[in-house]
Amino acid sequence: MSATPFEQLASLDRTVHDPARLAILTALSACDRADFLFLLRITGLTKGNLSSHLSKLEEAGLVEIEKQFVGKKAQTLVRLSDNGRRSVESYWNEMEELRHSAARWQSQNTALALVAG
Amino acid sequence: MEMETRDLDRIRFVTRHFNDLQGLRHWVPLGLITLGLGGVPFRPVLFAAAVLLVLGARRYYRKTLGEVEPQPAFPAGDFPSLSLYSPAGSMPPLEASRLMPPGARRFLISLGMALGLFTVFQVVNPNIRIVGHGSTLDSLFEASPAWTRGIGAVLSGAPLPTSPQILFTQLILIAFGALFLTLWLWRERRPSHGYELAFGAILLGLAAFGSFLGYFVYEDREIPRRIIDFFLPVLVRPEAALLLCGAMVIVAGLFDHWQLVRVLRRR
Repeated sequence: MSATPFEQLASLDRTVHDPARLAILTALSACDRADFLFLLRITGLTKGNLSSHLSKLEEAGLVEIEKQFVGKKAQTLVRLSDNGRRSVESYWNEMEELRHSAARWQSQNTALALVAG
Repeated sequence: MEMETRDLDRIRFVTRHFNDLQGLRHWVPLGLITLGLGGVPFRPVLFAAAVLLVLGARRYYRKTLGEVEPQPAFPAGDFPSLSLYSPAGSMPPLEASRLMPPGARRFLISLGMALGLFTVFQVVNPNIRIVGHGSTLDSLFEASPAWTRGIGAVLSGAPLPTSPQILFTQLILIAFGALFLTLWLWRERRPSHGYELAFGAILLGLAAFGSFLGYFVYEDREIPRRIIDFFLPVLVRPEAALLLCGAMVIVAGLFDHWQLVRVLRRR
């Protein structure tokens, strides 16, 4: 018996399925690498917030963080790991499946309600 | 933090096109150089301003908006042999085209289509030559005799069907028109970038209009000559075409910059 939309929703990877982290991962999936400043601007997060989310993503093995010096200034570069790319792709596939599943569930329950009424 | 699908789509788009949306770094300098080639006074100043803008804008974008390294044109580890005569055999033409960055490939396709259409127009339309120095249709052109008209000119071995100056002008319009059209396609045909489509349509339309001028001279049709005289400079004079194209490139660059800054709001 296939899972209901609610069960599918509950089974989503919470590391990815977070608005801020999803924004970060979406940006990183559209490039090879991005620096901390760009991620700050594109997501609209605060510095502390962004650092915290990046740490979580790094712990989960979804991103790779590299620090380098440009002149005398430190620059933090972030890229999606191979595992991260697979996870993001998998997440969107699950979301698409969830969308179809929700539409099927809604039509089934509408039909049942009509019959019961 | 609320995040809609639309926001994620905008994040994806801006990140993917972050470097080519830096209008102050690419398009405005190109527009300034084009204006300079079009004969605007103080040409060295314009060229110097373009160079300074390229260098300064790069630093500005890096310091205020950050840096993005785009994805490679082709996947890493999938780089075929550079030699056409590798031990595995010569590279098929289709494989070779995939080595080209997608933007360059799209531009060449757009340009090729526009040039093909332009060539057809040159062959089938009446020939025209510039014989005067005026600025109106009547004072400027002489149409070739009937027996050299259109395809007959090519078959009878007549020289270039249209004055080289006019050809060059229309080629300028085609090149920039194809550039804008390619940009619009490359940027996923987004409504927010409709100005690229508009500029491309205008320039390609002017090039097509210019290639039909022979009809109005040769046939002496009753046409609104004032309208044609209004457009005439940009249709037949390279400098005027360069001025128009340069101005459009600058405006498009400023729009790109404004869009980028608007999305990447400073905190």
